[in-house]
Amino acid sequence: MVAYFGMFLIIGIAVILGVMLTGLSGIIGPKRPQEEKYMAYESGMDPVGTAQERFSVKFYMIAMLFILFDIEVVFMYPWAVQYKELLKFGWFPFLEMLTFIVILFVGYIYVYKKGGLDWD
Amino acid sequence: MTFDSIFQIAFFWFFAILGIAGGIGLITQKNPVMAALSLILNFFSIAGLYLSLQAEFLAVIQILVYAGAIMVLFLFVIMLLNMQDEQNQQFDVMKGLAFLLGLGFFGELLFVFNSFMGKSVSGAFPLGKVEPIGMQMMTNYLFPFEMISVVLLAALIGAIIIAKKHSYK
Amino acid sequence: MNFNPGDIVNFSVMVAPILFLLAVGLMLMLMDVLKAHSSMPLIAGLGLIGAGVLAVLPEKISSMQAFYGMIEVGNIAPLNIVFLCLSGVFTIFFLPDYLKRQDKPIYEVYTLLIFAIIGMIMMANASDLLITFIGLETFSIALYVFAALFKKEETSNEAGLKYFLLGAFASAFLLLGISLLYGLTGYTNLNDIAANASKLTDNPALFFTSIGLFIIGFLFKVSAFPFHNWTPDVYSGTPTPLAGFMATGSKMAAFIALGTVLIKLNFTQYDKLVNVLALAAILSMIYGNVVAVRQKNLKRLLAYSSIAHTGYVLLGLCAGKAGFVAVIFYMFIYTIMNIGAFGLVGIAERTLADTDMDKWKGLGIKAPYFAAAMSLFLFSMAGIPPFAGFMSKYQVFIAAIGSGQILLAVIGILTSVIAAFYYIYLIVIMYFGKNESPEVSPRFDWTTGLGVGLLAVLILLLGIFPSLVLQPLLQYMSGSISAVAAAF
Repeated sequence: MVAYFGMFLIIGIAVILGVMLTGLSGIIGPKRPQEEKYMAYESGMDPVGTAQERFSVKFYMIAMLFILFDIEVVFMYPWAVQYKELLKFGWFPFLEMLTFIVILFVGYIYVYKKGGLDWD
Repeated sequence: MTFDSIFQIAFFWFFAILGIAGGIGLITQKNPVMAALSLILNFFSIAGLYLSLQAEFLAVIQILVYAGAIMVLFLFVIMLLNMQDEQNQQFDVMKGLAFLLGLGFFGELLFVFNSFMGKSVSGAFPLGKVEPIGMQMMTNYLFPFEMISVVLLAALIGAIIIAKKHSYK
Repeated sequence: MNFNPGDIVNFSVMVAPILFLLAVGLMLMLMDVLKAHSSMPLIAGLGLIGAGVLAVLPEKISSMQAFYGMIEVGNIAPLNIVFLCLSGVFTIFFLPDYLKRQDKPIYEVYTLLIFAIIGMIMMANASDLLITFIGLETFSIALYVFAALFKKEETSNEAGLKYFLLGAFASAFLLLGISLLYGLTGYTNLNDIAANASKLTDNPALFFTSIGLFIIGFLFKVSAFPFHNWTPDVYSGTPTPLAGFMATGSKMAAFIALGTVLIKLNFTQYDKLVNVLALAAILSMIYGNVVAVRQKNLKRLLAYSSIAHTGYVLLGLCAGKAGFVAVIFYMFIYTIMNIGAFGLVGIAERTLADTDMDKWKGLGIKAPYFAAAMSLFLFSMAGIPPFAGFMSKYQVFIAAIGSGQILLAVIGILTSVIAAFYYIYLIVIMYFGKNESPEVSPRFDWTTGLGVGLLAVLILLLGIFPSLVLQPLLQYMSGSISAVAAAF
């Protein structure tokens, strides 16, 4: 457990720093409220509509595909960390991961050809 | 008490309280984006709790996949649906019943887990760090590992069929 | 369990059907991309048949499990693969025509069907709870997509969302159950868990919680009584032949998986577990059959009847090891008649909303072959001899009585009478309903005609000679594989 002490310290300092910096400037900073100051900044124009615009499903599509490949990477991580140990099995661990990647590469070809990554 | 045990207790309570705060924030925030951000806090502290159980790999994945990728999807859905701030909701009988049932189930699990307290599991091998997981995944658990690719493929095809605009007329 | 890369080749041969199906699935994906759409159903069908043949080819098996105790390859496992592949083949007969008539050329369906069957095989033959879960997720994802396939239709959206949300919830329960079992024993391997059964009973509260959560997850998948709510909405929103697949293949896999786990844990010695299953069986039979009587829509009727059939299978499951053959036999027969019935409904409908019973009035005169085939499947589902549905019900009741569950069997027989009422009512509507010009005009093309013919012949054949399936089942179960392989 003590091995995590450094990490715990970093989190603690980060939290304290973050709270302190924003909190302090909020407390001791001068406040002269004006209506314009509270408007959203849109390159000098007056803002139109709300900030929460409805957005296209295309973003979601990309994000979803990202997650699927992200999960693929998750499985490569322990393999990569342990690869030196796994070398005692020769080329075999490499082939195992190759199979995994080739199967998902077919998926990638499929997505690419189906236009899953196009922005039309 | 040694420094180690004090640190362990402090570590647990820090993340436990942070996690519960995140959970309360999730259900009390009226703005859906703020609720989603509270959920990140919750995910993050759960990763901390995993660490306190020596499950390093799980903690890393929790941050990488849940607090990172899944949360992006959550926020996208919120923006996609253009959700507005939550209005005051009416209480009705079904909700009360659902709450009671949930509470009952929670109590049941609490009772059961309590009977488990302090007993260690023999037979289970220490599988929290990244190295043993990598070793097991490439040897004894090779088959499930390769078959995960089928799950991912099925999800990939499903995503294309359902979310792609012109996948068919 | 010392890992040796050389073993992997042996293991790969043992799970050849799964690897073959995976290759077929990848090939279908590439064919889809290369726009070779027209032969995709054929390749998928041939692939499934090929996998079935690979499973029963006589071969020397050095161990009962492949991949260090991950997946079962001995005993009844090859037959499970054959049955699950057949459920896919039956579905493929009806798909191309249906999608063409709906004007929705979605060829990914075949790829997903193959992946779904890989998942079902993994779950049914799993001897490690990890594989059970991975298999469950694989076919569940495919089925969620099936439910939401017609994304422009509101009913289909509703079906997809409902099935996905509730299914994910059920998976969570199942996973919690699995993790508690792991926590209790330290193993996910079923044989190891069975060998350490004393650890389970050390802590009865935790044991019953874990196995209870496990059972809940499966009862959802098979739509047994307290977890049945999604069934009618989902089936009526899903493309019809795929709804037939959903009601049969996935249930068969789930029942086999649940049965395997429970039998390995020797569950009949715990009265509580048997009682829970018996209660679910009774309520499913009564609820499904009684509510089905009031249905006006064919797909909803079939959905409620599927809840009732789940009850009958659960009844067989309560009998423990002795009833397991009956369970698999029942599910196989149910697969044949249910895919047939859903397929025929699919032939008759033009839009998703076109499944009202009233529209079928007078079909007996206008489309005699169609009505005759439908009547055959309905008679079989009602359990009227000499059709196969009778034999399957008979087997289940015999198993229940043999294990002393007399009350269950009596309730089963009584509810069968109610069931016969609504199945025969539909036949009466078709033949004696007064309608000069029925709005529905079913027409067979050659694939659907072939499919219906094949299923009808199977129903008759297995009704008269049930031992054609029962015999191999018993032989595989008792482990005399080589003798059976020669008979095939």
